Amino acid sequence: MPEYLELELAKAADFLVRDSLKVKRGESLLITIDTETDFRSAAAAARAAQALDAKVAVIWHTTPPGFGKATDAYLPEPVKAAIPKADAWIEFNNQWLLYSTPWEEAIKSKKVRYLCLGGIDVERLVRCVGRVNWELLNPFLTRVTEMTQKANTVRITTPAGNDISFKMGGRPVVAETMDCSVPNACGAHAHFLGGQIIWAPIEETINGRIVFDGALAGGGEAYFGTLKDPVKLEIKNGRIGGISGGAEAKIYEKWLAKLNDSNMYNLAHVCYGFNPGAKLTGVMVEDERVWGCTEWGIGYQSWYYNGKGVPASAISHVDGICLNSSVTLDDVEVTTEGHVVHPELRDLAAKLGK
Amino acid sequence: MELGKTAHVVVNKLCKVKPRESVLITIDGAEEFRVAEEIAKAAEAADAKVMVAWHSTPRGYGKVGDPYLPEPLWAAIPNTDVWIELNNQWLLYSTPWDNAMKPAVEGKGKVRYLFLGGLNVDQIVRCVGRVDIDTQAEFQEMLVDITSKGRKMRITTPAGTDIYFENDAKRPVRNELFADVPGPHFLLGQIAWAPIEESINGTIVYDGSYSGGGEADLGVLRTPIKVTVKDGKAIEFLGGSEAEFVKKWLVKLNDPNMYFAAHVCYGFNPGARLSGLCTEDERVWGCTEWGFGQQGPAFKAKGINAISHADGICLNSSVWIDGQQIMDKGKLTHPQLAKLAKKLGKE
Repeated sequence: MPEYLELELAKAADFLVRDSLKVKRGESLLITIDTETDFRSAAAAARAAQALDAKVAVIWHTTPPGFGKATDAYLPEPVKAAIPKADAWIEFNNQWLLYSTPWEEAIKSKKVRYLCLGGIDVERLVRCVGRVNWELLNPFLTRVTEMTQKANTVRITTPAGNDISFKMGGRPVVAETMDCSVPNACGAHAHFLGGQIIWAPIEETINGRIVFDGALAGGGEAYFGTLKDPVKLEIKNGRIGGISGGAEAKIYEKWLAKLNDSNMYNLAHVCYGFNPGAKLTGVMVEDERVWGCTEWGIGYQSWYYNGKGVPASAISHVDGICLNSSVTLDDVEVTTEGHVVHPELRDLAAKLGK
Repeated sequence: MELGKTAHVVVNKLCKVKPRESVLITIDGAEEFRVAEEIAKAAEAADAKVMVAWHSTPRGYGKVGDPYLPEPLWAAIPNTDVWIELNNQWLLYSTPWDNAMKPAVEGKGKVRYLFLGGLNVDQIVRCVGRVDIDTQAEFQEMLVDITSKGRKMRITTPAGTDIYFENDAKRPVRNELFADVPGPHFLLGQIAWAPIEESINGTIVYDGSYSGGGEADLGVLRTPIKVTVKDGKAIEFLGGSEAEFVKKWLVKLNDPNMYFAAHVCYGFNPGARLSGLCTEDERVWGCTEWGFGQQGPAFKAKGINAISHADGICLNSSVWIDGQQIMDKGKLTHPQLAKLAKKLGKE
């Protein structure tokens, strides 16, 4: 019997392997999925890849209690060995292998084309991939990326009290467009669900206040999902200097202290969210793409973002969402409270229904 | 519920999985996923780190499947503590299997491999979950002991098998039940060994089923295949269309080592029925089975290296060890073995 969104799922899965990763006959496609994610997404991608005569392996495995290197000790050894050997890898894990040691090995090999769809279940896959008009969205993402790349100074405010500024320093700005067949703007084959633009500002120049009022996800016990109360971070020279807010802020503060890793206080990257299908649902990979939000990553920073060629090491990685962001690039407004206002972008956004 | 209990037996009783061990379960697209899922659940309950690899079905057994296997699977297999294979098209005797098993047999590797290839829910419940493991262990240990002490053997069947061979006292008689030490282990109810290859002479008549993987997975045979064996090598295949097919298939494989007898087995799984699945068929109570081609390292024999491996079943076997008959047309005649067989619901 057909299940919920069965046909739409098949279409989205076909897009992933055929158009996005461009899986070729005889290539090894690896799909990883933990027990917290809907297996149907993995099965659909596997079927689509089999139809292309790829050699497909779906790894369904024990869920680790966290993200990144915090997962290393909990991963079955054969998972670690398998990952760097794929030609293409789709990650559906809810507790991401992203930033883990086998992930680093895979990306550094420059052989594995990686696509992170962590926690993306059938409905989200259909909403955020299958039903998105990528031909319309990608020129929009590309234009925002170009503008951002040229900027020297960026300021982001939100109605919730976010007010943070930083310098760009010419570091690469990466548009996630679902074209996973070629390396990203940093030269890495690390790709993420489309509808996001990501970069690492010059860390020491980041100053002000970040207010997460959408969602906060640090993996395991720090995977809060959507927030009841905003979490406020005082930022000084790229590091968290203070945390305030409600119950979630307190748990987050204690959890950070427990991790006992000073690097978990370092800001790693910032993003725009521009996926027309994304809703705030408590799944970070979707939340950070909610139209008009900005997102900050804290802790582990990939070596390819920072221009130094070495990762800013940390045991894990936390992401938080600032909804309805106003972004100013060198005094030119791109978005105001989540609405696209830049004259060059407004029409493109309108065509996307935004 | 029966499947849940069966999975518990596989993980805890047969593989003796310990907390924090890595358990790899491989299953191809041709196999019933529920079996993998239940075993994974039981392993998770045992505090193991569990990985199920569900992958493209290779087009044959052993090294024939190598080109069809995803690269990540090659890397995963030798890097686990426990590997439970459920594949319909077996990875057994493939190159990644070699990479995992050769070090394990030599005492340098850690992988405990349990072959349950192709068993669906019904079959695994019958052949594992409903078996009295303690009595089965007693029965198998006694039969292994008797066989290990024997030298000259003869097997006949009502269908015309009449084959003689000698055992090498230095080679192990493998008792397939538990998978609690590194190396290859197979579905319970099989006792397998490699006779001295050149001593095997006579006629083998496959009247149960025949399985060579891919197109040569013939299942239950319509017409018996009569194989004449001289000094361990198959020199003639007679019978109907299936015998003709096997002859042509072997020619196509173009590997002279596919003609050499690799091992012989007794089948004694109280739940096994002739179903067309070799894993089950070769354990039908009272059958014997001959494998040709690739010879696994665990037999500590000549180590025949062949591109694939084919197994055939001889039903209702009569077996003599050094002139003493232990079974007659599939029924145990040895008094102590017969008593244990009765406890297992068999003759």
